[in-house]
Amino acid sequence: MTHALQLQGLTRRYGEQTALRGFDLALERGEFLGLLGPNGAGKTTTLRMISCVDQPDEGAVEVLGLSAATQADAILGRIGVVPQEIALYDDLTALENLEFYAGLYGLQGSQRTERVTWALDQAGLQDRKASRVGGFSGGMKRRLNLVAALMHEPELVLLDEPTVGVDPQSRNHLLEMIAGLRGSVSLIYTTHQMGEIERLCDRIAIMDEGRLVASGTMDELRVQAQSQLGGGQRLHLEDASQLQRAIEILQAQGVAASTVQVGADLESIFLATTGKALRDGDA
Amino acid sequence: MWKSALHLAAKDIKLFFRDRTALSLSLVLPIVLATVFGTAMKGMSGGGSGGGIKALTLVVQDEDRTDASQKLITALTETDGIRVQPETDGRAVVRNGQAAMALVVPAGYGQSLQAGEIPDLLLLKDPSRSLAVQVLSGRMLPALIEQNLDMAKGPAFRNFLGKLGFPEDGMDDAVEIFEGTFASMDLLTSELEAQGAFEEENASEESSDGEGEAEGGAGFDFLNDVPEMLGLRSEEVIDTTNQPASSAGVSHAFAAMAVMMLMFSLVAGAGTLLDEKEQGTLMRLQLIPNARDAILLGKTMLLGTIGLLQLAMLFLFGMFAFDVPVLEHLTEIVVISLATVAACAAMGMLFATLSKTRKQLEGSSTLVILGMSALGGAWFPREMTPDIFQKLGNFTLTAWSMDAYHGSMWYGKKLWPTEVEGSTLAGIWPQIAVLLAIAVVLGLIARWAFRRRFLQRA
Repeated sequence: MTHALQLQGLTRRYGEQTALRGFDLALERGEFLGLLGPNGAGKTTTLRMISCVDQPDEGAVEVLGLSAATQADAILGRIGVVPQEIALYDDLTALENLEFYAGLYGLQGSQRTERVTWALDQAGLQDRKASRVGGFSGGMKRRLNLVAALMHEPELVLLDEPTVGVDPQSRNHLLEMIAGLRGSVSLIYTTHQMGEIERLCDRIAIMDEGRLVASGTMDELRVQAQSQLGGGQRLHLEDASQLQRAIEILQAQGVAASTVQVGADLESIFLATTGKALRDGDA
Repeated sequence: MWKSALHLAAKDIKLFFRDRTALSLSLVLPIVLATVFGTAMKGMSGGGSGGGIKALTLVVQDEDRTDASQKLITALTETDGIRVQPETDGRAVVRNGQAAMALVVPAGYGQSLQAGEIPDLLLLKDPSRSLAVQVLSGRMLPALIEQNLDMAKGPAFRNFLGKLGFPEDGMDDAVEIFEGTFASMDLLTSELEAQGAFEEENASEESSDGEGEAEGGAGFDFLNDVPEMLGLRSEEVIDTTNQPASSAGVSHAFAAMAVMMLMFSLVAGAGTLLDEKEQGTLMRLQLIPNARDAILLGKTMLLGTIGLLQLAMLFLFGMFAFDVPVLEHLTEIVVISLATVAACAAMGMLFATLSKTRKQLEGSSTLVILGMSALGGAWFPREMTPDIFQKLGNFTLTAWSMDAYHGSMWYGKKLWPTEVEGSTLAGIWPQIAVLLAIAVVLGLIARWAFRRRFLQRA
């Protein structure tokens, strides 16, 4: 079976600026991948190439076994993209927005009705389907924005910071919706919310300056980042309440334990991998 | 409070000067419009940029072809403000709206002069262009009078006085006084010309000649009565028996408003493309399979719907409220409207695809639409404007559309040439063809700009 996604040696230049420098990435079918990177790392450029709105100067993009260079329309019919902007029509109702996008994807008759109903249920907007989107809260718009990209039952879903600007309840609802897609889609998720990645994704890819700098499961990333987090040896305790006793024993034996860390979190790994310098790019 | 107010004002002034659209609308647009209006009015009132006056076309159909007729034509040609255009069928030219007035010099004109008879001349007028007709009539009088000075030396002047009812027994004295007066006037004129007295007053004389005299004599209309005494007969070449006298002006006004407002509406409608770009929906639409050209086509269909609805409402209102002859020319009006909407829609799409923001679109399009309306004849007759304006006007869709509407509603032109009263009445297909060509060209450029500037997919 082919990969859901395969990016090979992607390089993309915009004038003097190089957004991607030989970027490689693969996504298995059904896999949820978190794509992380500081501003300007090349995440957006990568998503644009997967969505066929841009092409690399060098390298190849293969989506669901199709070449993005020559089969863009075929790819677009099988992927769903949730853009960072809320791409909905404020003066149309929730129902009208969904019917509009369903129509563009060629859904007709009962199939369209079925998918629209499914989308409204997923978004929790069944009772507000006749209301204009302009009057919705940020969370409601985000939910509608998400399901609008799923109307045509895509096989690969790209989510670009889908929870920006929403309250915790709406974020939780969105994350549950996304988690509910497991088993039916492959997914790439970009965000600056590390907790969301940890909660949703099987694997994490960290980009910086147009390159892949780390990739793997959380455990694999912890191991990879260990040396960057200060070196030393790992001591595994079966019972965390024994930590103070362990430190006392070590000190009695003349072993210095200056840093005590109970498992590195993703944010620490991310900072260790990409550094702490401020980034203001937007590639 | 004052300090805060000054602080706020300083901020707003800074923002104002950074807003190119606001700057252009506030500072450049008034200058552009004042220039267009000023230049046009200067031309109409007789103050051309070179110190001369705006020349109007007088069609001359010389059927006499004698020295006398040639002398008349030469005198007209040398008259300031008249551009003589020789034609073999003056009636057809005026009937087709290509000139406001034609002078027909019939066969026998020279013979009549020699025989001492009042010569027969025929003026063919387009009543819808009364301003140009009046100005031309006033300007050609001196040349006609000059011709009639020859008559004063012969028996023709006696006939002329006789027609005025002058008693026969005083005729010899009158002729002597008349010739003496003109001889003295010739001397006086030569002396004044030598001193340059006419150079600055020329234009004002032109405009005041007709009006002042017309108001002076009780029941004596200088512009109408004097030409008649000089042998001029007038005839309106458009049959106005079935339409009110005001219908030419009304048709013109509705055509002008229709085209100008259509451009504004459709540019605004095309601005929804920029709205989609700003709110992110355009990006999502790009992610729909096979939707690239559909986006632009869909917008064009929107503009077509808006445009046709607007024109239908306007002409329907005009038909009931102002007797605009819509039903009489329904087929032509529908075809012109379709072509005009297509051209305006393409123009709207071009503006939208070349703009970055809606504000930029509104600023640039307002300038261009008002300029096109002025140059295209929506605000004042094109023939009264300077030549350069008329040439520029040919590059506006306003001019072509208004030509078509006016040609249909006033001159009764059909899509294809027809025979009317023995002469060929041109069809409006050339105007339709130009409008459609404008639509195609602007549409293709808009499509190119859309793909290059809006679509990110390679």
